[in-house]
Amino acid sequence: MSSQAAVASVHDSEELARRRFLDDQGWPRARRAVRDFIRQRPLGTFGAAVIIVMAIAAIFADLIAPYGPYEGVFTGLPEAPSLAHPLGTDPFGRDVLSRLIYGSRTALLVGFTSSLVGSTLGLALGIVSAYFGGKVDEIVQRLMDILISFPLIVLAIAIVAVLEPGTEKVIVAITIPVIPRVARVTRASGLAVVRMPYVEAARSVGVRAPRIMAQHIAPNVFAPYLILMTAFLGQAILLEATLSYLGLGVVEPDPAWGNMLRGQGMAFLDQAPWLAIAPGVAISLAVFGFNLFGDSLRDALDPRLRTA
Amino acid sequence: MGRYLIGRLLLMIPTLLGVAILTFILMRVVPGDVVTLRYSQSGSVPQEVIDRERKQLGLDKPLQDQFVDFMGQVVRLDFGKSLWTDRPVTEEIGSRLGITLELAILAAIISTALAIPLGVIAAVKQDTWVDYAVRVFSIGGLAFPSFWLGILMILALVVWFRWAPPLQFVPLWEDPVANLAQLIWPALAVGYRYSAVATRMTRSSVLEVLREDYVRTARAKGVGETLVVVRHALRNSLLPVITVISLEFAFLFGGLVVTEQVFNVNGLGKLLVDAVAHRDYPLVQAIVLIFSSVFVLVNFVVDIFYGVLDPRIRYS
Repeated sequence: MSSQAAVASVHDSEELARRRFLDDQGWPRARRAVRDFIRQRPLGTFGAAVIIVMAIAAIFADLIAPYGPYEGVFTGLPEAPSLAHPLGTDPFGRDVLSRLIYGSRTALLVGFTSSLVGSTLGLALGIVSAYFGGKVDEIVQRLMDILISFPLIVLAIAIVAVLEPGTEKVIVAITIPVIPRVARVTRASGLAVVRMPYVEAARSVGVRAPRIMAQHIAPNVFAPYLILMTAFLGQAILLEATLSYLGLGVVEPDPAWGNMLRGQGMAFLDQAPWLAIAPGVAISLAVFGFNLFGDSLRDALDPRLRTA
Repeated sequence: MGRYLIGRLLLMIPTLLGVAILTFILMRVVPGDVVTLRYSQSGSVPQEVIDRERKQLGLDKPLQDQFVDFMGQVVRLDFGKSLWTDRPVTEEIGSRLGITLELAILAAIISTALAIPLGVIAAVKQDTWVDYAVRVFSIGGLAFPSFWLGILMILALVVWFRWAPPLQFVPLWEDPVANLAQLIWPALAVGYRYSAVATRMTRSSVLEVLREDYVRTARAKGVGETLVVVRHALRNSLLPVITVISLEFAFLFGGLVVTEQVFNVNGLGKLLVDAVAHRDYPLVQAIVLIFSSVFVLVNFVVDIFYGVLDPRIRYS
């Protein structure tokens, strides 16, 4: 290669890199995408705002929360909302607002981990299924059919029954039902990609299967993967709250919105309704936020995936 | 159609078999076994109690024999005795299944009765405040966890009517009024939640049909607007709605697990949660199996239904 050509090619690759991250007007692409999203999808932006508030509450819980999650003197009776305790206290004298803030940590930890791990495993299975086809596909799909035959909550409860309650166990119990649901969709998207000429080309020059799947197929089914992951985030938070409410998830004294509704929340329902209302509003708002954001993300990335 | 039906029926067998196998595996992957797990936190338990329970569950046998036993149980629908109440599992379930089924049907009726009129109204009044109100109402149903909705309902009922969840269940045939008074609230809580998707489906489906040529023709002929909507638009837009509603029925069945807990209804869902809390594994196994079989069966019926309702669908 002559030196001139080498310089040109270096220049080209710089130009390519520049175009990849900046658009025609020199705006960073990500920034522009965010701006368009905010302008065109107010509901999705509202959802994103809820998520950001929740994330801040979770990350800086130690700084924001007025009291510790376990801090309190047992009184036997809940205390009504006051200046010292904006959302009152529970019968253990613990500040409801602080437990709510620490509860967002639990909700996000469980929600993120289980939907991320579940969707990623589902993606891997879906791609393997689509790439190899034939027997492999048949076996994986039948397995997924079986897993899907269990209602989400029933499968999660059955897994908890075997694992015992506790935060890490809840994550496992929520991750497993997510896998088959993601695997189905990514397999369907993967099937279209597998037939693409560039996959054929990669195979003909001797690129190995794992590398083809990781570098050529995975990036092309990334949109449905991302959409499903966001959708399951809301679901996972709801499922964690449900399990904790049933006493099969995160257990006392650890703070979680679901277990705040359980026990004291129900026992003092008529005398101290704030005990039940506060965590309930938090759960609904979080699920609502993730659903709105997920819906808008789906519309923005791939409207074909739209269902009812 | 006949061949499709048989084929679809045959396809259901491996799925159900797989569900049974997975349930079997799930209860046996625990470190140690379910008996040691059951007593792991109750201090010292005499060895003979543990041995007796192992024997009762057949855990002293080799794994393949256990599996044959288990499949025998599944086929005979006899799941042995509950560890918690010591009554036959089948008996425990039998008395609860009816309540859950009644609740599920009631909730499905409520959800349909809400979804179809609301969806049609929203479609007819598209982009007016009526439409927005309906949409907000249905999105709310999706965001509220059904147990939270139940708690709010109890709160309102307690405050306004001094009503509290009943302690004793009254069967339908003994006192239909008292029975309905008990079940209507949980059915409303679940029904509202599951009406959300069906409402959205009805709205979009009616909107689509209203743009069809035959609707324009009907209007041009001078058919009244009500008749156009009811006879021409609604009828032709029902197919996807029915599909969604029947699929929802399967989900609704799972949703009852929580709602029964909130309203203290002694159904199958509450039994499942109690069984898990008491580490009653034979009972858990049987209930999980029932829930999934209902799920698989409903999906099968929906598939068949689809073909009957829409002659355009050809099976090959």
